[in-house]
Amino acid sequence: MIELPAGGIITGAAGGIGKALTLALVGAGVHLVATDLDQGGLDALVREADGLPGTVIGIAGDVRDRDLPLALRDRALAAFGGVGLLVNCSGFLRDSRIQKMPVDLFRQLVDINLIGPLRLIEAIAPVMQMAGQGRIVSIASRAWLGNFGSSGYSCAKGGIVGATRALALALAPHGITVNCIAPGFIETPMALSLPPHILERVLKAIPVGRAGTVDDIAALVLFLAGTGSGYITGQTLVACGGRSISNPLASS
Amino acid sequence: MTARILVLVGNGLDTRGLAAALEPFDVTLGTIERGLRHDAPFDEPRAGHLLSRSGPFDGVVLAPAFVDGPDDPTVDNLLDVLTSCFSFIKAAIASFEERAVAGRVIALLPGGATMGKPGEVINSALAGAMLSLFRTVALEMRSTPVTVNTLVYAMRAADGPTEGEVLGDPEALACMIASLLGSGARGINGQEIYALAGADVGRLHP
Repeated sequence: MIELPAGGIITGAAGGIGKALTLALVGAGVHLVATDLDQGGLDALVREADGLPGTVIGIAGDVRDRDLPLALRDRALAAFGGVGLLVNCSGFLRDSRIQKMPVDLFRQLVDINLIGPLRLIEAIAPVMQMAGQGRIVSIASRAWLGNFGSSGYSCAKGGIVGATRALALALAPHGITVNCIAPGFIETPMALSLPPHILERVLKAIPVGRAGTVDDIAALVLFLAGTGSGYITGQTLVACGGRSISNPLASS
Repeated sequence: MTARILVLVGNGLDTRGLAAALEPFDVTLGTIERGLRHDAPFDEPRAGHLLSRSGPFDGVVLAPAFVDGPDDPTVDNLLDVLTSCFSFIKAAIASFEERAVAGRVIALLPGGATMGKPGEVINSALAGAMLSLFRTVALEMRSTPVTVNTLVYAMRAADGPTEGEVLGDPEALACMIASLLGSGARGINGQEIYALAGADVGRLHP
């Protein structure tokens, strides 16, 4: 039987993918401290999770806040006695060709999508090391392979992939696995708000002929969080309906 | 052979061996030694100003790596270095476009960190971020004469009184750089060349 960690932390919990991940984990009995910028979204998430086997403690926060990682860690330790799982799901996306992308926007994209998750890992990995076990799962993106118009976002996600490899090697002797998931186009309110002609072009470039669902990603997170994935570390699991092996220029 | 000017922007990596190795190819290497500062990032105008001091350059090499500090680099240092890299890429492309030059942008990344090194999480994050940034910029530049590529290098312990590490095989890098600078290399874009003498073989690339 696959076992999941008793307690964990998830960021970006009120967003499209984050909400699905939280509900899937809590539905499987995991207790989570969940954070997001959106207080209202967190409140709704806590209500929705009511009655599931696990529990959700919502703490609103910005992953750029240097104090947030320790606050989340302390809350999880107080509530669950440990942190066996960290899911980095916070994200922010704004596209623009490099010549038109302001340096400040690039910096913001890297801060939220790379620096924030690394701060979380810095705070949580020592707790896992003390316990001699843990699972760290970060949501990267297929954009790590390169994505027209996404210089800041893809740069940050590439940083997640690079850090995942080094962290996996460093933490493997401590019973901790570190992996990331690179979703392609996923049906979230943000993704579906694209102009219809662009949406059509994006969907056309996906070999399986459909957008991914948040459940596709939740299934992977459940797998990576559980005991069945103990031999997998340092990997980037690409969930993109085959888009990463098709022509990258087709929809750009 | 046409004489070319290449500007290398780094943050501490000892690249003197590379300058000497490029000379036979008639490539002059100008160096902005602290261009990728990890305490105060450059904005695009300042990056452009520094690049322009080297004259009409044909290519820009970005060599970000945390090699010179006694302390471990922090995530804040990482953010600053990436910001400076981004500013220099923008400034280089702007200069190439303004002068209608088929310019070259090259990232020079350390092999250990790029492949994933347990003691160098920040360096590995930096290398991974640069790989992806260059992939995306290469896609965006594909219909222009500008090319964007990445070279991954080996390090070795410095000889003599110099402490730390230096480029392991500058001749191999010089050979690749000279090749990328040539007009015949206009179709080589978005590529990653691991000049590690095979040390990466058998491992998944990031």
